[in-house]
Amino acid sequence: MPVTTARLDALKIRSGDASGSCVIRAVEVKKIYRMGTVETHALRGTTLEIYRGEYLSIMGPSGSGKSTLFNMIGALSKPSSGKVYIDQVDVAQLDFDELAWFRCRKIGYIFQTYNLIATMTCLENVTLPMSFAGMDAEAGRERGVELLKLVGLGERILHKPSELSGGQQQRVAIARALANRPDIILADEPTANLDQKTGGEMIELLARLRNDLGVTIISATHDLKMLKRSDRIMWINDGRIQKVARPGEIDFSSNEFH
Amino acid sequence: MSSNHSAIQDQVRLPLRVAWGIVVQGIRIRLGRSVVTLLGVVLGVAFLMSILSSSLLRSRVVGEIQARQQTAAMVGFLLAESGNLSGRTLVVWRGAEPDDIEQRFLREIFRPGAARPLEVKDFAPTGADDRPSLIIVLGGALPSDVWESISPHLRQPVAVFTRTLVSDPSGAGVLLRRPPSEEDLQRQAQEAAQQRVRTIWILCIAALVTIISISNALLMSVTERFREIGTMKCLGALSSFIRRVFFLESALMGLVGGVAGSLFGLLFAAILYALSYGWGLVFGSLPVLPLLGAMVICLAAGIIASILAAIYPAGVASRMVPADALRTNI
Ligand SMILES: Nc1ncnc2c1ncn2[C@@H]1O[C@H](COP(=O)(O)OP(=O)(O)O)[C@@H](O)[C@H]1O
Ligand SMILES: [Mg+2]
Repeated sequence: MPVTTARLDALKIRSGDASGSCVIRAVEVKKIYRMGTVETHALRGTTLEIYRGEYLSIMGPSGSGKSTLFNMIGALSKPSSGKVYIDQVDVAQLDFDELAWFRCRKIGYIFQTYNLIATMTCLENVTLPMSFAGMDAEAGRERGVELLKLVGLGERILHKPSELSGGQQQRVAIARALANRPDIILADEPTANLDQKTGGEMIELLARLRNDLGVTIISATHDLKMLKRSDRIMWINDGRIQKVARPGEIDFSSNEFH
Repeated sequence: MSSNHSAIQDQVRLPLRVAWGIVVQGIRIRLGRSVVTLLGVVLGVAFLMSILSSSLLRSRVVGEIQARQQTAAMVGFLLAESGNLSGRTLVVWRGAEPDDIEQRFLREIFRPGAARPLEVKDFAPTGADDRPSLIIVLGGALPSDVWESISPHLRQPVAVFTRTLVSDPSGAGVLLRRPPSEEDLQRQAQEAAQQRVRTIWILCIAALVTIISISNALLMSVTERFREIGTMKCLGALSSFIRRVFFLESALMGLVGGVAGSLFGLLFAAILYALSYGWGLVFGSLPVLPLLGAMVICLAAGIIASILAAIYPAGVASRMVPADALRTNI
């Protein structure tokens, strides 16, 4: 079935958040991974709201369920129970093609390991989501060059990812995430594989994009600099949200951060 | 976006061009493995082609050899009747247009240094030393007036027939061409049928092996591209796009492997036949059109086998959950 905005509008919930200020809402989301007889409760009933245009950081130790939460709110896999609304649309109601449509236009993903397509040039990587969106190749190229300039890689558009440093690759990934003008950018530990300085540059870039483009940024991180830059910080542990705070309310010198 | 409800073609369109680019780049990058996969296709198709072209070539070669054998047998029967041919004159009566075998026969007995032909219309009685040996009847009938006017002047009053003995005014004509017996024909047909069954059986096995090996190579390709596929799904690739990438890759393999395989198969069969029957015979009478037809069949077989082989791997790839493909901690 062709995806239309009319169909998506029809799917939007009519109650609750009528203003649309809440871009992602998760209600009692649980995720259980079953491997043989072993069950892992990666999320144990998470409820959260993420507001349009905010910069939300998610903190938590390794294995606490950050990536799982990202997969749920990024429509990359289905929760075992609970509901996820992206832009007021219940993700569970979407079929495969509609999910692809959603991922293509609503959300930009940034990964810890960059995940650029190794066989493609920077420009091809950035234009790939645009061709998935059906954008004309010429227009796509133009926008691709523009985006690569925006992230400071205007000189490297025809390089292969292997010819770039980690920081440069992550910049390409950021440009790619912006390709279809998404409402939301999901970044799963984007600076974890980068050195301090490069990671800092990446955070500056994301913060600037948030300010300039008004895009919602959700980022899992351990990076102090990223926490300071964000609007809200959410702590997650063992599949549960422990606390939510604003940077001003936090003592960054406490033990928690060392 | 939501302000524009009318005629929105928001459908995720996936240009073939993009899939094609991914396929070509993928093959370039994984050239080593692609070549190995390709070899599987080439071998399978070459096998099919060598069998198809063998039977085409054999029909040509067998015809030629039978014709040669038949001609030689006819010359042998004639020699048994007439003795040495050199310097002799043989009267020729054309009861019908000579067929291929008769033409070969005539070329053989009237080649320089052998006998000389004398058409009936040019016949004139001559002296005793110069008399023609006998009369050769091409085709079926020898009119009795021809026989009666010529037979008194022959050295041997004998008529040899190249085709049939149905109209023989001499009453003691000699038939040079003797058809194969009913029994021979039956045995040949039976052998041919058995051979066909064997060939089809072997072909089925070869096709199966080829399909399984392509399938296996593609599955490896899926595993190798786990992360790439997951990433593309995150970027909005439809399952159908992922499937298309694998079907395209496979069909390309089938096409290239099919072309190379059918050429190799043809070459292999032709050289084998040339070595045992002579280069001139094989390459002088290549059945070009039927061979082209066989190549088309082989190409189609290669592509169909590749597409069949891609069904399972493409399904595996397209059903992959993007989250699974992106896990970093496995
Ligand atoms: N695909 C999966 N299959 C089984 N277990 C998984 C899978 N993904 C994550 N887990 C488990 O779920 C828990 C949460 O993992 P994850 O969300 O990746 O945490 P984080 O990103 O915070 O490190 C961990 O115990 C992890 O081992
Ligand atoms: Mg993680």
